[in-house]
Amino acid sequence: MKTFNIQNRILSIFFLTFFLTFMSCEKEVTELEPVDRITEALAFSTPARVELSMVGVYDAAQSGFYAGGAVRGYPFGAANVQQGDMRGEDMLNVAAFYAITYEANYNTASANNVFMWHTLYNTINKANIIIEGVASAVSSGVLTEAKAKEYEAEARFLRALSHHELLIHFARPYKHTADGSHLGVPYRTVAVNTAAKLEAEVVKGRNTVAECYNLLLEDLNFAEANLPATRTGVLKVTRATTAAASALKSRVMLHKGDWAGVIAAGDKITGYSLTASPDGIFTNNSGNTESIFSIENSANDNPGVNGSLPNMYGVAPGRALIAISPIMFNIPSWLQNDLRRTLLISEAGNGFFTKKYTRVATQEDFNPILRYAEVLLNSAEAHARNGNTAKALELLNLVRNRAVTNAADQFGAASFANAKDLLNAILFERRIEFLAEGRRWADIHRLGLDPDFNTGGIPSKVAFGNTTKASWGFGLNYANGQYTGSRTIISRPYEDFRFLWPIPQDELNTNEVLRGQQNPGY
Amino acid sequence: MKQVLFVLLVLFGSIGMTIGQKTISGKITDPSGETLIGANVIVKENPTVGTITDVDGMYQLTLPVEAKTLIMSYTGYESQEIAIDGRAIIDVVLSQGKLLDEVVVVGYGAQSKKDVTGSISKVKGDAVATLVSPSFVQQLAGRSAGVQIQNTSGILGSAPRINIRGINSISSGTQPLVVIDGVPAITGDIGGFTPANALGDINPNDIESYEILKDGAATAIFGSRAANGVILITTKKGVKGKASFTYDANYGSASALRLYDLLGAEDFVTIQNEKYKNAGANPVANLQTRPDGSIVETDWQDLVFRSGTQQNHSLSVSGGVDRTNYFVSFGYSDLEGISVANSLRRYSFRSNLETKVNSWLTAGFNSGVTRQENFGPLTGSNNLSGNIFGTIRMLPNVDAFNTAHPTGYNIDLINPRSLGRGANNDVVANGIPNQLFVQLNDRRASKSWRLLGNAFLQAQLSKDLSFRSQIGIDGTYVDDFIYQDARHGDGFGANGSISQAFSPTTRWNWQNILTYNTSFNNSHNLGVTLVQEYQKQTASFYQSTVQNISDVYFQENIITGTFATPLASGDFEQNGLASYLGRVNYNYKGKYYLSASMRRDELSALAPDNRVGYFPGASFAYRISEESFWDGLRDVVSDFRLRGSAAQTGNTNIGNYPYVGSFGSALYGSQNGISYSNFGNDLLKWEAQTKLDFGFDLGLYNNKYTLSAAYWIQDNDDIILQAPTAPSLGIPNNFINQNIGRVKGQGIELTLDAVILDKGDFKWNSSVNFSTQGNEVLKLVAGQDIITNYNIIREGESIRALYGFEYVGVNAANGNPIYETYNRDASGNITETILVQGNIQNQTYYVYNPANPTELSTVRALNATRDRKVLGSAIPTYFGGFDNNFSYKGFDLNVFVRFSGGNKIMNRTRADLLSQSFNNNGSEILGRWQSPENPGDGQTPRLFLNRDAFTNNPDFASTRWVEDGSFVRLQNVSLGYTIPASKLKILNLSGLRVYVQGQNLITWTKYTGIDPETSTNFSTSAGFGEDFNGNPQQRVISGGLRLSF
Repeated sequence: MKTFNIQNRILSIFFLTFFLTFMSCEKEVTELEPVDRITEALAFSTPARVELSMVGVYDAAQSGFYAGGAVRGYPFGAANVQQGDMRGEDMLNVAAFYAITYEANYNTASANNVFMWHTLYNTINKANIIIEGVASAVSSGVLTEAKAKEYEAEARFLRALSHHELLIHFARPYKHTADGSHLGVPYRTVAVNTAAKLEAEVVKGRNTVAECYNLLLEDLNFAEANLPATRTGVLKVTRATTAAASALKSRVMLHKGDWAGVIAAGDKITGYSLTASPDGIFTNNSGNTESIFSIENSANDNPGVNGSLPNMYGVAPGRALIAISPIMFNIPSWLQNDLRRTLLISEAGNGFFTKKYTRVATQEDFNPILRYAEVLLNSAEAHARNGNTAKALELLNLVRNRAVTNAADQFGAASFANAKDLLNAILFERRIEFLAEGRRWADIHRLGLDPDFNTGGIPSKVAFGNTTKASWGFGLNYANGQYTGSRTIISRPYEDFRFLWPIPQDELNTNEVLRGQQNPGY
Repeated sequence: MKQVLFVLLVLFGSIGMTIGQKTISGKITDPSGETLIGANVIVKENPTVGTITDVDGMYQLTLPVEAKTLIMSYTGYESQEIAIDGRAIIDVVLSQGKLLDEVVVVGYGAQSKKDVTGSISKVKGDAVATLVSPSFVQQLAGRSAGVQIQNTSGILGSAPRINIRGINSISSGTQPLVVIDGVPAITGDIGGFTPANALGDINPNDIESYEILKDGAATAIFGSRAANGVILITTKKGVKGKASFTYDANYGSASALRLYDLLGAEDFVTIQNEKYKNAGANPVANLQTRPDGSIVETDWQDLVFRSGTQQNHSLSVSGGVDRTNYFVSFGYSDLEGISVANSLRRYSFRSNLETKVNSWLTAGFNSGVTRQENFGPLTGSNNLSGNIFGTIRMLPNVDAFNTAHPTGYNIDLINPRSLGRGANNDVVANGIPNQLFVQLNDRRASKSWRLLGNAFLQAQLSKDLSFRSQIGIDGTYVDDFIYQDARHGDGFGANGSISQAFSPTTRWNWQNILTYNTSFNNSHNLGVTLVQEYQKQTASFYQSTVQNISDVYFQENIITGTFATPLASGDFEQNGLASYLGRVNYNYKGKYYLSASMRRDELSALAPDNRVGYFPGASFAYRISEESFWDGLRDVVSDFRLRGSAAQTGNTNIGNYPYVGSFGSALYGSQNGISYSNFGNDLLKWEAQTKLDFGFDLGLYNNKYTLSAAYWIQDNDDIILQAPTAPSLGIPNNFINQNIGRVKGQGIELTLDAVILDKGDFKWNSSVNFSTQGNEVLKLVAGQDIITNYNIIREGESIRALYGFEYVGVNAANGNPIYETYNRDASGNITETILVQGNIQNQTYYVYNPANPTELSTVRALNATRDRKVLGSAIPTYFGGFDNNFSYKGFDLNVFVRFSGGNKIMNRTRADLLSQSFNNNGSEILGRWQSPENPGDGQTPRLFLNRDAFTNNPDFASTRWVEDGSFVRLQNVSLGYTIPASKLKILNLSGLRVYVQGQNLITWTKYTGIDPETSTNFSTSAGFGEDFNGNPQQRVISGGLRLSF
């Protein structure tokens, strides 16, 4: 047995060494910090990180998640355009892809409306987190007061943009009640990043539409006052500026029906001009004179093959899932020699498509959110509504004559019998100019109760299944300004509950207050 | 740590105190003459004196004066007491233990099966080794009580789901820990673009045994990793003696068990045109006639599925020389899947080496290297190019090929993204691509290297005390590849793309194990195990994607300079675990057993203040049959034992940094950014699971019949829940990781083994196992339901029960679907049921008036908040297997049946097959309502183009789609013949068996989908029991041989 003793001594030294090695191991295996993300505590610890966090809010606006993991350009990378067009009649759903939106067949679980809601509120919370974060960065000496205000202004611009998008889909238009006292959406202004704030926020129900507009304008006024007047390079278009705040304000005022406000907001914008050619902003997304604010997409970061604008709208090699509807294409008042017909439309074997988004292989087309042409047409409408038809005509012609270059076709004072005719022309000009840019629904929505220009709710639409290539032709199936071809997708009057999207089921599942505030009918 | 050292010192100090007088020596062998190395020899009268046999089986011992009797023992053999009677040399032959005397591998050690107090199922490697299948996991299904294995897809690389005693978490992992030769192994699907099952890396022929640890007593030793049970896999070792060579080969053919029942060309045209007509649109579908007058009719399933040939070969050499034993093997598998794009090839090498360095030190090196190459189609349920999504939609009235297109495939000449339209006026809905082109031209591969090995040193410090230090490495190195052709399909828009990703995952694990086993007074048996364990895992990946490729010629790999758009991505994550644990086993004369263990785990994934968790376990057993009062009964009841256990375990499978409030990367176009990505929760702590288990083991007529029974309860508290938050709060991913949630499961397990016949040459052994599993959610965040598309987690219901509408059928008067809606009181109870019909024409629901069924006057919505209810359990409530082995002379026959039931399945595929778009349908659609005179099957509403969402309502579950998932499956029948040894002498062979077998032969089920086990959605965050465009299962008929010499 003696041998055991010698062995044991050797062994015990051996093992002791082992154990000591191990003791130092423990920390190495358990104290692990993530290396692929920055912890909350550090996100606002340097000016460079604050800048990164700010960009992160734009990312949320560009590429929120759809159905768990896919990026399909929700809310502003592309989806706002597709949904805005598919809710209207001027663009045509080709496949089953957008059928639910196109045929107003949404329910509380249908993906398009659910993820619009999700990603818009996700953007809003991220904006609120920046607002809270920069305040802490000021108190910790990381940022100057001025720089912090600039970031807050950017965040509030995006917050306003997102809330307005929610309002046009989930709430009735401003004019639905005389004082805007009907339900809008919850206007979130608190960063929800702790359990306590979560509990405090979740009990807040829908604000009224009037409250929402007040908060929107408050945000935009702050943004207007504190954003930089201009930026350099690609940022001039892809990040908020004073002009972007004013342009959005012009739009919001238009929806509110505050004509003076529209004009005042539009007049503030300087340094922008229409591009010489109507396709100017599409051929050069970042370096043109007209784009005020666009969402940036790149080859590396875009809404992907199932979401990107060039894939959804573009002819082969694009997927060509959204065509121009014969309702719009055939209409004779969109003149045959209008440059927007020749420059911005492409022909495919099964119909006609927009040529605004063409970079199919790289999917890097920017999504134009605010451009100077819209500001001009907003102001034109406001002037016309206020009775200043001369100014209105001048602004309309600025936009229209860029594309309608034949002098004989251009409008003069004598072209309109009255202000109503002029307004009709301005509103029609919006349909042409912003075709395939998702603005159609916003106009249908805000004009829902307009005594002269309402569309009777969601207009009836053409079903792709009823078309052949021969269904497209200038002036074809038009009589007295009305499309006479078959429109089998039935219209939904303004009063129909489907004029609004439902609050998603998962919101109702988790939010007791909103459960009691669902849009009626769902 | 101090305790370990203390024990060491005490033990070291106690040795060497005996006074010698006389020596004795001898050799210990087994009945075949093989020497037993490391067998124990102790003096009965003074158990502190003893030794172990050396590599030659020799022992030498100096006897104390009082010595009269020696006790010889060896694990797995029956101990013997031998009177010394003054002899100087005593050679002993130890015989192998009886049925109950098997050795069972337990956590950090091994025990004789009769001494195990926990609930452990053992499956011998040989039972499954010869079955042709992509991995051994599939073959474990139905073989032991309480273990449910679900093969969810016929795609070869897909990882089956393993659930031991039910589902034990809501948001965290539910898969068991798998430990291979003591090293916790990487499991699950490791493929990026196509599935690759990590456990498919193990050559089934290398496996000696599987032990499945189920209850607290058995699993508590694994502490925080044990909530979902543990599977211990032991690979083969060489046995001393002459080298033996084994060759196994089998060759088989796989075909689809069942395919989808789709429309042929003529029915297709009728149905599609009816969709258009009812929607007021012009018909588009037309039969296409070839110049020879024949009608074009394409069976797409015939093109994209095949009967695949599958073969496996395995060679091994094992043996032992001098102080060393070895087992080396090579395995090769080449399997063609039933999908034309699916195949799996595997090369595996294993080398297990163990050597006795000297009388007290043993060193071992076990290593396995596997190369696995998986190819598979895109299987996404909702991908336009997904193999099932696409195949069931392909138009049957167009050709698959068309010489007019440069590719030779039928691709639309007007819309080149789409399958060609043939004679139809439009392309298939959504312009989906030609599925055959996609499967044959786009390639998805996952090729991996797996290194799995360990090295250990084992020192026998004294006859009772041994120390083992083991270091193990498990590394998976996965190369993922995807090529998407520029000419058609998903690569068309990007003008061709290739993605390549490299994903290494490395885990190291270091264990120091001190084992003390002693017996005193020949009646008290004590075992103590102390362990230190550290583990760290690092997983990373980097990926390059290139698009806009210059030529389709460049498709084998990314080639510099052949692409216009380069993209890159990557990630890096780690986790680690530091543990200390101890276990004490005690038994008195093999009659009373007590065992207790305690483990301390520290996990990197929790906040610093909550990192440490303690996991105790205790068990007892009482072998009543050893009592003297049992003597009279022993002829009938040869063994009877009661056992019970209680333990607390945890779940480490909670993600790497769930508690950290963080900002993740957030690229915006060309601008770098970060954004809020995880809601932090510093209070996050261990999930705690309390396991209780009671049972008995019964042996009748000298263990000719044995019955094991257990009743278990698993109470999972403090479950980490991805508690859903209101989306309007904008919290990342709309959830917060919280420790609120409690789920309780319970079940019964029965295993009956019987020798039914043993008459001369004819033998029939049978084994039946049967399990039940129940499950109830006891607590949720603020009692709030968690509702996903088709499932609900609700207090009082089984976890993720199916949840949806009650479908009544079709209104015979107009073809509209009818559902139940409800009025409820304040507490949610139904007070009134009101039927509504969905008017397909204007997509509005109206109250259904049976007296006037066409009346559409009172609008009443079908409301998802108000009108849904629980439709059934998504998890089987019972399952089991029935295994029969017959032998007659050299012939052997195995018939294995397994079954499962009590669950419901959301047959989402069926809703897809009844799609209202312009694409093919399942034949069920022929039963649609056509007119009041021709109302169809009463279930299928009137057709209407593009009205899927309204007509079929597939976003929600309903009783229309939810079906019974029970089944009985004839899993395996094999017939073998072992050629008598006498006839093999001439060939110099020692054994030769040839066999034929059929797997997955027949399934009896009422489920109308492709297979009741096919399931497409089982992530803990999504839902259970959903079958959405799943892949068919394979049936394999094969033949093979095993020869050895």
